[in-house]
Amino acid sequence: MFTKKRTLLFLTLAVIFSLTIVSCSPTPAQPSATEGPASPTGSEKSITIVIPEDPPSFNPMVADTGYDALVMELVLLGMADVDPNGNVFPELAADLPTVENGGVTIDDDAGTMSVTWTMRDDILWQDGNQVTADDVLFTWNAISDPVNGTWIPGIDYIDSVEQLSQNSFIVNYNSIYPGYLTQFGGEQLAIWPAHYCNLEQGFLSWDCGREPLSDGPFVLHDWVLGDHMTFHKNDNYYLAPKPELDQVLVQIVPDDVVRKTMMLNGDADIDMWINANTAKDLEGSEKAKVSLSPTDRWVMRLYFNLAQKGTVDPIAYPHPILSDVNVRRAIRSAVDVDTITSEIFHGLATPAWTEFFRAPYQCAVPRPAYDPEGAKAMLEKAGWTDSDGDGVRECHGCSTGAPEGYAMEMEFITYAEFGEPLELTQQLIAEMLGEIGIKMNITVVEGSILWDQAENGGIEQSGNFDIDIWDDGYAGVDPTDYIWELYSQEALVPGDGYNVMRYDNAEVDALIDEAYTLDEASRKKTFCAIADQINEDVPLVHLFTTPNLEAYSTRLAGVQSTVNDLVTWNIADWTLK
Amino acid sequence: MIQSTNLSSIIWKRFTRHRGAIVGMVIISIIIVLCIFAFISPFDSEKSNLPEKFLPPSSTYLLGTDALGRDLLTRILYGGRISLAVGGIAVAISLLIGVPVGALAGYYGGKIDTILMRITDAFLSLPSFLVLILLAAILREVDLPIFQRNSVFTISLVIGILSWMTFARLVRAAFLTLREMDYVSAARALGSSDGRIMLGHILPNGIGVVIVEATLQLGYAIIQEAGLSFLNFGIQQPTPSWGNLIYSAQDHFTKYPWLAIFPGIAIFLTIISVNYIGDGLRDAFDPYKVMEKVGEFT
Repeated sequence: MFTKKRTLLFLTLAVIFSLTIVSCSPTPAQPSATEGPASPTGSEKSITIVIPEDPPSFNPMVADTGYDALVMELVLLGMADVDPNGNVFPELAADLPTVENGGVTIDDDAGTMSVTWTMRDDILWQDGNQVTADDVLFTWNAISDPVNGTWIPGIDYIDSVEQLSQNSFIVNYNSIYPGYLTQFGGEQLAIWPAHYCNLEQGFLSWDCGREPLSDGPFVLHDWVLGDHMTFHKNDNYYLAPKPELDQVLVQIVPDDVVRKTMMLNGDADIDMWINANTAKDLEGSEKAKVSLSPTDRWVMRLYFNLAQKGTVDPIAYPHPILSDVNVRRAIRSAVDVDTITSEIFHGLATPAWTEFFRAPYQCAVPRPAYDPEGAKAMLEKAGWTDSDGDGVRECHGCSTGAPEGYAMEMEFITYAEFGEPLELTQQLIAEMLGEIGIKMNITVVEGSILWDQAENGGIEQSGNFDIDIWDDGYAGVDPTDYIWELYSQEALVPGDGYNVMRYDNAEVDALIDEAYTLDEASRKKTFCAIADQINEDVPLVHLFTTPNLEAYSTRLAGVQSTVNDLVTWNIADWTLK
Repeated sequence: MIQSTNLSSIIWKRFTRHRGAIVGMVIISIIIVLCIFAFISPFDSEKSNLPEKFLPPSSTYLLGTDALGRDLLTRILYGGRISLAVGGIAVAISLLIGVPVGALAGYYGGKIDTILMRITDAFLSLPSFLVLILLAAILREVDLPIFQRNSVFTISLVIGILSWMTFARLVRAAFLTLREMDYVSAARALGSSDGRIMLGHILPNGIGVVIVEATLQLGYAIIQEAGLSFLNFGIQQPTPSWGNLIYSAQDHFTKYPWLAIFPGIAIFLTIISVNYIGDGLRDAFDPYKVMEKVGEFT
């Protein structure tokens, strides 16, 4: 026994000794330059961007993770892009086609339009070849390929794309398409090199999507999966001597706490899409600042499923609770948005109660009052009362077709990737609804499960939810496609759009059709009519805008967060202090 | 009957000689009692109190408050109910699967043994935590009330159906030995059915190893629940569990460390306690150790 004790004591001491030796030993040598990212020499201007995962490719149309668009901005240009204030500016285009300059011609009788684009003739690919209309036609052919192509916004409105000369082409639309300016550009679409990409491999899977030929400010130097990507200055960039930076290192750092620490220590220059908690933690830092987009885009919202859970037909299978508009209105009245924005989002979020809250389409929809007592009264009137005193209302004469005594209990889902502020918001709303007698069972899932296609078991597309909460909004300045995708009856069919509320209102459908015009006054009027109707029907509840925040190092100048693009939208203009 | 009483008292006597087991028993008893009487806390475990958020430990909030101003001690105690319940139910499910599999394999031997043990081996070869995550993800999409997303039962079931193999192997080993004993032959000669022999004669004599393993599995199940909840596949907020309390603390560990430390201590104390209790029971049920140490049978 004594021997055993002594052995144990010896082993314990040995472990402690070993740990001490290990902890006191010098840290392992850093990988050499040949193993790790290329190190800049003393005179080179290099910055580090930290992101949590590798981009799937340089083509955001493949997976749209945001990280793909982030690196796309470094190497590829589109015809036009959108600045933080929503102004469209030309990239490959010599100027923006409009009705006034003759670039856009409208056939009023046929209700169609044609857009003529003229391209700059001084933009080169990194191999010295000129970027021409051949590349645009090539990109269009790849996108519209019936087998290997993909869907892009407005594609259904294009009849044809024809080349007019080496530097010009015309797009013929079968309708009036207000979003034509960013049709071949914007946040997600770039023009791809015809002489370099292989059309047979397909737009979404071609090799050049991961090894792009650059016409942007930087060229890809190396990409070590799961570790880093290195970009060097493009000597052929058309806005030379821009960019001022010589090298951009994109480092993969999965943990957000580590990324925040790197920013605080001055080991990173950009951490995109930080949340409100991180922004709060960076306050007062000497090494890092936070850039806030001048306009908002993302609106946190409650999505109601108007069809019975697990179904997608709100007429044949109405939701036993949410198909009554009075219940939806009561829920809207019971949520204290101001408390959430101030306590959870540290005042960085702004209450929003309509889709049309920002320029150029702002509608004077009255803000719904926070009124829990009014909400209770609405529920009582709608036939939902708590007869057994358990704090949860039941159907006693409700109009939804729910059986007598049906409990007001629903599942409440959100996605995990947003992080703690959204999860706390979800808990607070569940508590607020609990106070008016609606029991909410909280679930947090991965975004990919929540938003996937119905055939892959996507929760929303297959209608397998009661109420969801997440943030969404349209990029740029044209909400038409977004409104169609979210509220039109055609978009109600799984896979055809994102009307996961299964909202079906013929009046709204007609208004959406009317919005496809270039008459701005008419569009404003139409959008506000849609806003009024949505405010009346409450297929979803707009809560507040979530801030678009990027952390950047204090040594870096020119960074401007934007909801219309990724933070690297103007990386050619960034300078080091 | 007299023999049985004597055996119980001998086992208890030997168990009480294991100081670690006694300390573990005291700690786990305190934790269980505190969890049961969590309702006497003046605070609501789920209701927010935003003006009081992120308060450090004080005389009012003994373990501080969380991001929504809820008392952390109250949440740990209610979370303990969930974590211990998951552990208990998971072990019960493991027993329900593992004991019959092991008993049938050990008693009948031959092809039945081969088939059941290969199935057991197949389950043992699975990377358990990855399969746990996969099962948790699949079951929460099953549209049945019993599998309500991330319910206590779902999580317990997921853990239970991946933890029964040890029970099966232990029970099989016990049955292989015990089925050759004279009293089993005697029972068989008297015409007892196989079921009666297995349940009435062999199982009670092999129950010791099962009890020991059950205590160890309890700790294992609590850790699995904490792991699943930490990865957001477990119990969902606002219902607290020790795992999801630590998950919620990860954003704030540097500024508000108590949010992670106290639930971590609760898990640590519980696991170490049940492990010591398991050690004590192992010693108590081990006849060779008894003979060697005390000589009760001499």
